[in-house]
Amino acid sequence: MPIDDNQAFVTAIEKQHGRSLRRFLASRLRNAAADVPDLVQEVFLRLLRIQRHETIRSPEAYLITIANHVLHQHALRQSARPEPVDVMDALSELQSGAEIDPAAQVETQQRVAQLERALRQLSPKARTALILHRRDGFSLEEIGAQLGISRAMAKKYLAQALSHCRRRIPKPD
Amino acid sequence: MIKARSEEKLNAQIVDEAAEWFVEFNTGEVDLAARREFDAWLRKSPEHLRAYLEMFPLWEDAPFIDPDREMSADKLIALSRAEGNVVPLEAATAPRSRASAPARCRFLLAASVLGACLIAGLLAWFQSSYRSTYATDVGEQRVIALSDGSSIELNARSRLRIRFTDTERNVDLLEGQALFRVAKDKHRPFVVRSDATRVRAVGTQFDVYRKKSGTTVTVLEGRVAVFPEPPLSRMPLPTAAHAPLIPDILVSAGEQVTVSPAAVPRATPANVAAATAWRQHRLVFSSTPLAEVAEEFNRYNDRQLIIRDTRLTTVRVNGIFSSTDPASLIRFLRAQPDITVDETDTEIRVRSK
Repeated sequence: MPIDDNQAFVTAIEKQHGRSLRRFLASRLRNAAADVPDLVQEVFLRLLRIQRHETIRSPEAYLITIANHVLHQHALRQSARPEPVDVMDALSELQSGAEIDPAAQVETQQRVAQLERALRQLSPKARTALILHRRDGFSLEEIGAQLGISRAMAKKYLAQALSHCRRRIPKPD
Repeated sequence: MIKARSEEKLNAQIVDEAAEWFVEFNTGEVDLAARREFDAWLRKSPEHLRAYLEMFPLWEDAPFIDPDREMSADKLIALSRAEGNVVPLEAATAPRSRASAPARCRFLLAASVLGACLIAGLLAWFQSSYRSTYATDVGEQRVIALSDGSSIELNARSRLRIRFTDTERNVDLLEGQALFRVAKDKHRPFVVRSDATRVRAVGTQFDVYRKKSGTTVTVLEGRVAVFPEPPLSRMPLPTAAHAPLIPDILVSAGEQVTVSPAAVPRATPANVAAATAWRQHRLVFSSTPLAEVAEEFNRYNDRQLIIRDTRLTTVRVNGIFSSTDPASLIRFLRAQPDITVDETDTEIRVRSK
């Protein structure tokens, strides 16, 4: 029972803050590349520590919550260093999902340019699926109807686009 | 760095799988079997987890591709359809009306806004009856197993008294909060008393939170009857036959009732998970004023957090803290630019710089 309750609670948090949590996580993952292995290890260890995980109702929400928690703790550790990270900034960013840091904006532009380059080498359907879904807000059904394919196929194209880009874009290490 | 071929191949497979899972979770509901499968997949290795996490930046960057729409949606669609390896299903008909897409978007937007409002409302409502969104750790919590097979989970800073007789199982919640798992016994009702509120159950699971402002009863399983008793001083006529001024309230699973002098108690749908969040291992604060954070924190720690500066009481705090590890909150406070923290053996004093 406690796991179930915990799960529903995590789901509620995730539903309310899901989008900003994701963005926060994403921006941290790309801006603090050197720290990412740490993050992965720590999140992984925490995942392993969850008991009765087979009852977890929303593993992705759980993952996001844990990852963000680790990031916050990481920010706290950082703040003890000579060049402090403003935790309040990090938190307000988490709340608003906005990237205020101009350097981060330049980085975003660079990353988007990389993404665009990677997409050029991709099949038109997979590229179209990703752009229509993420940029133009098309649902999978709408993409399917527009491209004359099934919803399941549209999903496959999305996954194909992601894994293709992940392989084309070098890790910033 | 040159990796072995086989390792590269494995990694490629992991990335493919990560992308599939990521899309699965970000495009709709995922059923239980699939969620379990994903959970198992994620735990295979840190590489799996890493591959999954690395999908986030790609996904979050994708909306910013070609913002000027040099490649418009229509152009992209035309290009894909011209690819030729699939015969368009609707080749003869006009492309689907573009008007319907925004319309559907608007509907979905409205639906999601409504959903978000509902959740926010539920949480806000929960917060108002609970003062804050938080979860508390097991450090000072205790599970009490009773002779009849029932059990009680007692939250921090809580106190209760148990009196069992042949005809009744009585528990007085003197302070704080507890979750009751009641074993069935038709002949011996289980009665929890919290201030002027009595909760009567036969076989069920429910949470009782005695606050200064009133008592909140949340039912997880089965059904309970709640009897609000007016304080003796306000009892009108001591006639036994007199109908009670406040009727009994039946509260079913998933419902909650708060008995307070301020309002007429009524059973309402409850966020059960939120109401029993204290059983988990975290204190969750979302834009919570520091004054409330201190109040909650002080429920679980001998060393009391004291705000020396009234200006600080309204500072908002976000984050998830372990209640077994007060150091995490102290570290957080120390990291704030305008806050000074002084620690003594008995107190953690917070003041403006």
